[in-house]
Amino acid sequence: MLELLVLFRESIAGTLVIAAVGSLLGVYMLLRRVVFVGAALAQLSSAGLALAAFLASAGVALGVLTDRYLLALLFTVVGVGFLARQDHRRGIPADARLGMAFVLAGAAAILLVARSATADLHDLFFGGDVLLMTRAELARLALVGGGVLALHLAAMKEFVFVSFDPEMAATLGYRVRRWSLLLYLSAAALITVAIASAGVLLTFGYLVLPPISGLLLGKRLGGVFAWSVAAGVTGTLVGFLASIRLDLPTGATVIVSLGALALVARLAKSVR
Amino acid sequence: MAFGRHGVFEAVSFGLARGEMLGLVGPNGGGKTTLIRALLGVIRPTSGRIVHHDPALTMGYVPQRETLDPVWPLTAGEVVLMARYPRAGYFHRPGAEDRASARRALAEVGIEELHDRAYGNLSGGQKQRVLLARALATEPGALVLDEPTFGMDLAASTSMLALVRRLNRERGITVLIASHLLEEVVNLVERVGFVLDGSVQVGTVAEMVVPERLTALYGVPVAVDVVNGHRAIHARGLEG
Repeated sequence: MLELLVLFRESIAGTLVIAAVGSLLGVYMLLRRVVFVGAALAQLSSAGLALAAFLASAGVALGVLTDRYLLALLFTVVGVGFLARQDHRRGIPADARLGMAFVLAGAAAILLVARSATADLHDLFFGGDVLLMTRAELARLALVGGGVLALHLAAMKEFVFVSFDPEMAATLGYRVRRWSLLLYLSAAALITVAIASAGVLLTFGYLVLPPISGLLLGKRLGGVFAWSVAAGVTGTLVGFLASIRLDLPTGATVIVSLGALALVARLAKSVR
Repeated sequence: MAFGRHGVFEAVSFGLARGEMLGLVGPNGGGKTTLIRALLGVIRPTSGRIVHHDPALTMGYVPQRETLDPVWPLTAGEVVLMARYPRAGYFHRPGAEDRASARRALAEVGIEELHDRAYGNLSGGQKQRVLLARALATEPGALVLDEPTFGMDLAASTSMLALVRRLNRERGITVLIASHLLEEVVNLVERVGFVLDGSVQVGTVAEMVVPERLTALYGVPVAVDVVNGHRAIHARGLEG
């Protein structure tokens, strides 16, 4: 077992980065009641990766312009712009806009992958293939995840204020739309690098399941963040060990582990 | 002055003297909240402009409490402390003085003991007091209250309005209060503004709260009885 853990140390470390930062960001998504923004952004990011694969297989190489991370980030940022306007437009309900972004981006990604010569992206839409994470991917995750974490530790009170009471924040001089955009962009940055290694399902799982555990166990906001990150990290380690021991797909096993922790949190709350 | 889908106001001009209480009343959907949000700078006009003749006047805002989601695990003290965030500055935590100010504000509205209670678990009246405390923690020259007694029972709404009146009289805080509860407002303030279809008409309560004006405002016959200085307002036609 120990040899296997050492063998997959990059994968475990990289997934723990996604777990810790994704679980923290997910608390905002949960409390702002925009959980499916995370799902839509993850799907948009996957469409960007699929486009990069399609262009590569078609022989289109424009240097940095066809870089998979840049295209994934571009799709996600465009998605942030599209979804962030949901409070300011009428005509299409906000949840319908999310659903539209999710299914169209998913369909586009599937079509692009189907027309590309590479097969390594087929896992993108399900569990991803975290066991194949490279040292370069880990370094990228650590860099982006660390930056997002530092931003959130520094600006937590600002993000909380504009999320909880945007009107009051605006009366006190906060540029609410800019702060909200920064919040979503930070999520977009993490999702972009996470999707390439962990896939859509696992990345979205981190944005939803640990924050549910956090909300059930934390009495104060700080506690909710702490419990959410703890649940994300614990669920990842348990899921990794279970997947190796039982020879199961890692991403799906981690998600089930995160779900089981949410159930335990629910039981703990009812006992308390 | 237009606010996109929020509506359009004709040239609106009214003064608010230091220390006075002004009420904004009118039917639901008449534009009271839009006008208040525009005055506070929450929304900006898509055409036209808003001119404050006393830009130094700080306004403490008490929003409708239904706009705040109780799912947030924040204590009453943490909600009030938000008023001090601009003083702390971006990326800095509020200091001891800010925390003391939040406690003082809670004490001023009579609920210091709720400091560590979850905001989402408070009653409607308690939540409204927390929001009033938060507005006071901004050390405002004027308080702007949007439907401060909406959904409260008689005891809670009476207590809330008495508190607002006390703050006005004892601390000289200017008060602008918007409500669809006409009778409640006109018995609290000295002047009143009728908000309807993009216009605002302001005058003293004695000038404005007369059957002819109220009938025109609400589109139904309205009677006004004055008993011991208290104005009782009835929509006629319900007698039988």
